[in-house]
Amino acid sequence: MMAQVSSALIDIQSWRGVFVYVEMKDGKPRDASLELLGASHKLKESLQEEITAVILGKDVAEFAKILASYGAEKVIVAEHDMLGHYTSDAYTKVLSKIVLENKPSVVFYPATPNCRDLASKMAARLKTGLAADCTDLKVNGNKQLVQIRPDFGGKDLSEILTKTRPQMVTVRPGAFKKLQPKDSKVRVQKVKVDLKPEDMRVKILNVEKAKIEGSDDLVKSQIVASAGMGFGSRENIAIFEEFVKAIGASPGASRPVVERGWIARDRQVGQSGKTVAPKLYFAIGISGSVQHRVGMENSEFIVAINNDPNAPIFKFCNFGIVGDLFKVLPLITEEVKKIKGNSASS
Amino acid sequence: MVNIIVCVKQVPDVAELKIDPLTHNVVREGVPSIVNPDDRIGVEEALRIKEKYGGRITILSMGPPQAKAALFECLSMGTDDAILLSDRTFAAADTLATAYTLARAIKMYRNDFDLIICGRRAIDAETGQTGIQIAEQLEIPHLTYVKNVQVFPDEKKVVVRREVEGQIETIEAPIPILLTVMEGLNKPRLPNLREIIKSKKKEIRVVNATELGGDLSLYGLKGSPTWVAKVYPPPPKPGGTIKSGEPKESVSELINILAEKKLIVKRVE
Ligand SMILES: Cc1cc2nc3c(=O)[nH]c(=O)nc-3n(C[C@H](O)[C@H](O)[C@H](O)COP(=O)(O)OP(=O)(O)OC[C@H]3O[C@@H](n4cnc5c(N)ncnc54)[C@H](O)[C@@H]3O)c2cc1C
Ligand SMILES: Nc1ncnc2c1ncn2[C@@H]1O[C@H](COP(=O)(O)O)[C@@H](O)[C@H]1O
Repeated sequence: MMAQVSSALIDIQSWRGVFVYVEMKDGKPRDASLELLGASHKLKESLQEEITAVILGKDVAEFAKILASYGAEKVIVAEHDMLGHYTSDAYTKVLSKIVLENKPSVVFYPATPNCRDLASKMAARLKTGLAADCTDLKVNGNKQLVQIRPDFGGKDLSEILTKTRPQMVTVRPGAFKKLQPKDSKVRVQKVKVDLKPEDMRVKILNVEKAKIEGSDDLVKSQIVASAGMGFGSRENIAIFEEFVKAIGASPGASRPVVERGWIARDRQVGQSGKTVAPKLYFAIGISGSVQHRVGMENSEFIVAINNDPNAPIFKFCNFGIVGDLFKVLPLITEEVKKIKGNSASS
Repeated sequence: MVNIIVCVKQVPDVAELKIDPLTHNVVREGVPSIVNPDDRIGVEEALRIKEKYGGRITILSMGPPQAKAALFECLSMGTDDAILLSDRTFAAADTLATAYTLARAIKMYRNDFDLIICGRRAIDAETGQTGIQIAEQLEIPHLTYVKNVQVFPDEKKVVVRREVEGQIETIEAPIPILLTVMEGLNKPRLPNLREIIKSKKKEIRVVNATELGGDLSLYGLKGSPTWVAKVYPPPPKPGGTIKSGEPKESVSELINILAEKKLIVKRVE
């Protein structure tokens, strides 16, 4: 077993610069990574460190320009056939070498499933601290990076500091905004990748799409509307669907609704489902349990419809209607159709 | 024969946590402790593998003396023995120090393992890092987000289905390996009476820091590269507008606000 490095031995001053790990998804750099370039710029005023995007994959050099336009001042590219599909072994070997050669003070990763896998292994290999799934970042008076994350399903926030370098952080997608892209010059550094088949201890036999349909739209959508147990039955979901269509929302649901099969499983919002932060969120017939809340409370404007004036959802919504959803929702659908429809005929 | 270690954490039942109305802090007193849900799934999977191929299942945990209750529960599901690493020195460990402590115990007491099973995440801090970091310390491979496991003891390999973001990967990996398991892999059994009686005779070995040995400065808070500087309740959201009158009026007020905020815009054909 490897011995740990005592943190006292780390010379903090010699680690400089911010690294943003860029994850590829569907053949392009993932939005959550671009958001981290935005986050790095927000911190730049106080940190004053160079922002480097690091991208690993099969044919990824062409994306350096895009990364620059979203704020990368330097791009490190590592290409290899064995990086075509994510594996902990290959990715950790390549990324840890890059990090040790460049000695950044911070490495940001999006808190997506594979990045959380990679970051955990990276931190253990480099024997450094890793703060998980942070929702906010700031720099304190001592120029330390403060990593803010929810605990106990969002009932508490804690501020984490790291004694070792590099400080590693996974950041929740949607926590920061991307910059407006603009053409920028960028230094691109291509690294030589040294990977041998023996480096990969596991072997991917097959990759297939899961049966449940991907619901990326849910996380990206400007408007999300979620249905809760207040609908009472599968048949009643029809009025929800009509509303969703009229307003142009991405449909979501609370866990019990998903468990009953009224709405597809991958549309669950909350602790064990997706985290969304749209401009407008509707919680319809949803009580507002903490497990649901952590998945949607960062939405910009939350509308709640519930017939129980004491429902917890009313404590953290922006606009609440106490009333029977079977009366209220069709009225909203009708009004929305009026607004949207009018212009169509004009 | 497949020898399995399941890492189990005792956690507060997060769903039962209440917020103090005055301080807005989380109240932990009086909240029941449970076996971390993903870890129960790990125990169940270990039992199913044992039923097929035989072997020994060891439950390993780091925690306060009360965590014995969680270990008894796992023993009464039918596992063989349990080790609890318990010492003030271990307290306030982050995931790296926790992984170091658990990995060291595995080396010392159960180095003949074939599989280590961890939960995808513990529901208290939800980092999902510890398992992966144990594997790295032991220099064995790991696979996360495991939804299905087949073991081939003779060929010293596993075939695992891993589910990530709507993709299912089928992966072959050598034994020994560490797997992190999640909801949907199986439905954990309840302890049955026969096993509960049997478990009373099973011993939970409690190990302190001196006994575990090694460099004491690598345990607990001292050995943790990260530390919690501050804990506070999330800032309260500014109070919203709540309407309880005639639905028509409430709806038209809502529609006005949404239109003003340009959240409903006229469709441009
Ligand atoms: C470990 C764990 C993880 C979990 N993860 C999630 C998760 O990811 N997402 C999630 O959503 N939940 C999750 N849950 C479940 C969560 O605790 C709640 O049980 C769930 O969110 C409740 O869903 P609901 O609000 O739809 O149902 P309920 O709590 O039953 O609420 C239904 C609401 O509808 C209202 N209502 C009834 N009839 C009408 C009507 N005619 N008009 C208007 N309103 C009406 C009621 O007043 C009530 O407030 C999790 C639980 C655990 C233990
Ligand atoms: N103190 C602990 N004792 C035993 N196992 C643990 C402990 N902490 C974490 N684990 C294991 O690591 C998994 C992930 O935990 P976490 O990284 O805290 O989300 C858990 O599901 C357990 O299997």
